[in-house]
Amino acid sequence: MYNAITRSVSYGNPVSSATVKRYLFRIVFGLFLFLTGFSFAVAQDLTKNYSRLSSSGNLPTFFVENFQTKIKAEGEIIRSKNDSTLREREDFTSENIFDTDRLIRSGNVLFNDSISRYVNRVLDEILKNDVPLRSKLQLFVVKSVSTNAFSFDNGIILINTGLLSQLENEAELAFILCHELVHYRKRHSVNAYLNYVNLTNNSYRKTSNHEAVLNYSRDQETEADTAGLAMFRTTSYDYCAVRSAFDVMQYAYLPFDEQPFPKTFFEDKNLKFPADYFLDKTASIKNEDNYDDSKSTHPNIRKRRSSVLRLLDSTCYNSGRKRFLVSESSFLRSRELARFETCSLYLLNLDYADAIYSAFLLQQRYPDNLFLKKVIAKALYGIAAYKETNYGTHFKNDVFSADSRYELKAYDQVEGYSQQVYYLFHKLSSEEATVLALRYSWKLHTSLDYRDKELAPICDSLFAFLVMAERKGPSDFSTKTRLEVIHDDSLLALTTSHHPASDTASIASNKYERIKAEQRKDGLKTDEPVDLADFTEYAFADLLKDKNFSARFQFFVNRKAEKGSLDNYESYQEKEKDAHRELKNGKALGVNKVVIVEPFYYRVKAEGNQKLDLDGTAKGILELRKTIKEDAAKAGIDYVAIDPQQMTAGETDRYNDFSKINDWFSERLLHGYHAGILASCSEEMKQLAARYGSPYFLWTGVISMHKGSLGSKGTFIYVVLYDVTNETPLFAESRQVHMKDSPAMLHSNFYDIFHQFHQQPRKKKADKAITN
Amino acid sequence: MKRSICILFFLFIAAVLPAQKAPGYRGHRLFLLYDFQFHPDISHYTPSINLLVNANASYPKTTFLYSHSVALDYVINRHSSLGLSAQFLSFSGTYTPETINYNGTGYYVSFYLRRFKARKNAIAPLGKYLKPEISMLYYSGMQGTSAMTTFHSGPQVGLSYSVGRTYIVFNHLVIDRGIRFSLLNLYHTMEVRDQGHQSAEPAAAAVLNNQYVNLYVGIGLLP
Repeated sequence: MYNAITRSVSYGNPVSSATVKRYLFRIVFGLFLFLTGFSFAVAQDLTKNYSRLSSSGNLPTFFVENFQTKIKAEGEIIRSKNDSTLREREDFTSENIFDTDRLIRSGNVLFNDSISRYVNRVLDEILKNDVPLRSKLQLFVVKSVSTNAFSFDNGIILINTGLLSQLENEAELAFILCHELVHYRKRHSVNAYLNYVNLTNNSYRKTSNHEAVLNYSRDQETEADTAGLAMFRTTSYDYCAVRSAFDVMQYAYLPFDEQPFPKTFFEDKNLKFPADYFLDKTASIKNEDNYDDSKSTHPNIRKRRSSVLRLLDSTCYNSGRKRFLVSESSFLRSRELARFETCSLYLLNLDYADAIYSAFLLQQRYPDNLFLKKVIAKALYGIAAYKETNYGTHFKNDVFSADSRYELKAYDQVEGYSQQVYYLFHKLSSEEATVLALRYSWKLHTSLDYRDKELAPICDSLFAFLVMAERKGPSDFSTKTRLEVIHDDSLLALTTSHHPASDTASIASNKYERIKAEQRKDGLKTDEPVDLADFTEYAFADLLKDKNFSARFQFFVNRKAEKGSLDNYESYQEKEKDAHRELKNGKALGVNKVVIVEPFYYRVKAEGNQKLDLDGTAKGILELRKTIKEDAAKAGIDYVAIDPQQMTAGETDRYNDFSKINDWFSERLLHGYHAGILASCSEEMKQLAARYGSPYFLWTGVISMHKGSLGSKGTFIYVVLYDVTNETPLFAESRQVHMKDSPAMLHSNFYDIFHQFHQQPRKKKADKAITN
Repeated sequence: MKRSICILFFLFIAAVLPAQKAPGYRGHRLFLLYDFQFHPDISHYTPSINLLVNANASYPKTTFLYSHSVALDYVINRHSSLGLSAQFLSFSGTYTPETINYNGTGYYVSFYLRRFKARKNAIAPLGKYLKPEISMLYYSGMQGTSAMTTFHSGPQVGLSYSVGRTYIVFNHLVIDRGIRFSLLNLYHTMEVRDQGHQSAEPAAAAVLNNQYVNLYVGIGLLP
C-alpha cells in the first residue's frame, strides 16, 4: 500500500517504511497526526506572555472547496495530457488530493498568521523571477514538533513549526523551500507512485520491490537536493546556509538549543534535591551522519551533504550573498513564535520533560513570561499525574485502552543537556513529583492573586493526588523550614551537651545521637542544608503559612474523611456495576445539546490493499451528516456542528475553534483511559463550551468496509462524548456492526446513541430512598 | 373481540405518542409484520405421536405446505421486543394408496420475545435476532370434498425458536427473514368424525412436519 506520507515528498527526517502498513489506523486518527499550535496575527509582547498562534483573514479557497471539486479540476488537467499512465495518474491524484484535503482541514494548518506571512515572503523572494510558478503554489505552516517540510503535486507546500524553531537564518529556510520546489516541479510524488505501480505489476518479489521503491525515493531526494541547489543559486542567499541546513537536519532530534539545565532551577531554601537526583555529566551528543539508510526513504545526511557540497565548492562564490533578504527581525520573530509554540505542542504530545526544557531555554531570554511558567506548571502536573499509578478515574473500554498509557522516555536514550530533566523525573517518586508540582503551581498561583483559572484546577488536582493517592495531609509536612529545624535541633543538642545531667540515658550516652548532633552543628555553622532522602518534608514549610494553601489542603482532607472518596476521583469500578443495565436500556445522560466535531466517513474497499472508495466516501459523508441531523432532532438533541468541510470563507474564527478542539481531543486520546488527568488546554475548552452553549462535545465517525475482516461487509461506528468542563468521557463506544452501512442501519445506531444522550438519568435506589 | 381491538389500539397509541424520545427505530416501537412461512419438501415423515387411527396406514408425500402469520411487535428496550402473532396454516395432500385427497387449515396464537443480538450491535427492531416463542395451535380438515369426513385437533401447545434478521427500508418498511424450529407435540389430542380417520394421521403429520423447520420471509410496517 502506498500511503500519503510517501505520496507527499518530505524534506527532513526519513520516513520509515513500516508506517506504510498503518493505513487504516491513519484513516481513523489521521485527523490527529499533526499536533498543534496557533499563531496570532497581532504582535504580542513575549516578555510578558504568549498567546497561541491562530489563523486570520478569510479561509483560503483550498480550505473551503469540496475535495471532489478539486479532484474533478485536477482530473481534467491530467486528461488533457494524453498519457499511457492516465488511469494511474488519476488514481494517484484523487487519493493525494483527498489526503491533502484532510490534512489541510485538520485544524493544524495555519494561514495568514505572522509566521505564514513571513515564509510566504521568503517563497516570493525565491520565485521573484518565476511568477507563473509562484501562482501555482500555496505555502502553509503546520503546527507540529516534527522537523519537516512537505510538498504535494497539487502545489501545496507545508512547513512545520518544529522545523522553523530549529533554523538559524532565512537562507536555510530558502534552501529547504528550494528542495520542496524541486519535488513539486519534477512531480516526484506521482512519479514515485507510477514507479511503485510499475514494480508491483511486473514483479512478484515483494522484498525486492520494496527495496526498489526506497532506492527510487532516495534518488528523488538526491535530485531534490542537487536541483534545489541550482534553484538556490538563482537567489542571493548565502551559500553557507546549505551546509548548515544539513546540520539542522542532523540534529533535529535535539531541542532547539543546548544549554545546561541547572540543579537550582526548581530549588529554593525549602526544597533541595538530593545530590543523586542530578547527573554529574549528561550524555554527549553522538549523532552519526553516516547511518544505514537502506530502509529509509531519504539518503543519510552525509551522502546528502556531500552530494550538494561537492557542487557548491567547485562553482559557487559567496560574495554579495546574504543570510537574510526578506527580514532578519521577521525571521527571528517567527522562529521565536515557533519555539513558544513548540512548548505547547510538547504538552499536547505529553512530552513533559521536553516541554520543561524548552520553556527553560526560552526563560533565559523571557524570565517573566507567564506562558512559559504555566508550561512548566502543566508539565510538572502531567508528570505527577502519571507517577500516581493505579489512581484516578479510569475509563477503560475498547476506545480508551491501557495500551495508550503514558510513560516517561528512558533518560539513557536522551542525549545532550535535556537528559538532566529526564533523569530528574526518572528519580522522583510519585509523592516527590506531586509535591514539586504543587509547590511550583501554588507559588505561581499565589503570584497571580489566586485568580488564574488554569492553575486553580491544577492545584486542586494535585491536592487530590496527595490526599487520595499518597494519603498525606498538612500535618505530614513540616511547618518549619529546613534551616529552622536544623537550628532548633542543634540548639537542643548543644543545650543537652552543656547539661549532661539532664538526660544522661538518651543523648549524652548515645553514640549515634552524638554523631548526628555533631553533623547538625556542622550544618548550622555552614548554613548548608543536608541532603535528606525525604526532601519533600520541608517543601511546604512556607506555603503552610499561607492560609489559602492550608485551607485548601485541609478542604480535600475533610472531603475525603466525609465521603471516603473525592467526586472526580472515584474508581471506575463503581460505574461498572451499572454496565448490565446500560446494555439493556442504554445510558441515560440527560444531555440536551451537543457540539458535534467534524463527523467523518470513510468507505474502504477492503480488497487486499484497503483502498478508499472516494466516490462512496463523498456520498457517505453527506448521508452521515443528514442522518445525524435528523436523528438528533428525533431524539430531542439540539446540536452545533463544527465541521471544517462545511465552513465558508468567513468562518475563520470557527476554524480556529476547531483547531483548539482538536488539540484538546488529541491530548485526551493520548491520556488514554486516564480520564481524571487535566489536559493542558482545558481552560480553553471551558471557554469554547460557554461560547457554544454546551459542555458536551461529540466526536463521531463511520468506516464502512466492503469485504473486510468482518466478513462480507461491516461497519465501524465511533462515538466519543465528553463533558469538556470536567474532562470526563460520558460515552465512548466503537461499534462493529455486521451490516452494510445502509441508511436504516445508520439511523438505527445514531438514533440509539442520541436517545441515550437525551434520556434523563435514572434515580439509583439509594437516591430514591433518600428522596422518600 | 372488542377487547382485543381496544388493547391493540392502546398499544398503538402508547407506541406512537412518545415516538420522538423512545427506544426503537428512531422512536418507533410498534410494528406490524406479515410473514410467509414455507417448508422445503420433507417427505415420509413419521409422526411420533400416538394417534387414534389406523396404525398400518402408509403415509403420503405432502405436496405443499405454507402458512401466513401476522404479528404485532413492540420494542421494550434497546435489544428486545415482545410480540403477539396470529398464524394461519393451510395444508393439503393425498392419502395413498387409495388416492384420497385431504385438506385443512390451522390456527395459531403465539407469544414471543425477540432478542436482538447485542454483541452484533443489533438494535431492536433492526438486525439479527433470536426469537423464543410459545404457541397454542388448533387445526381441522376434511377428506375429499365431503364435509362428513372431518377431523379436528384439540388445542396443542408448542415451543418454537427462530433465528432471523430484520432490515428496514425507506424508514418505514420492515423486511424479515429467518428460520424457525418448533416442537408442537408436547400435548396432543384429536377428534375424528366418520371416515375421516384415513386422513387424520397424515394431516397431523403434515401440520407438524411443516412446523418442525420453517423458512420464512416477511414484510412489515413501522407506523
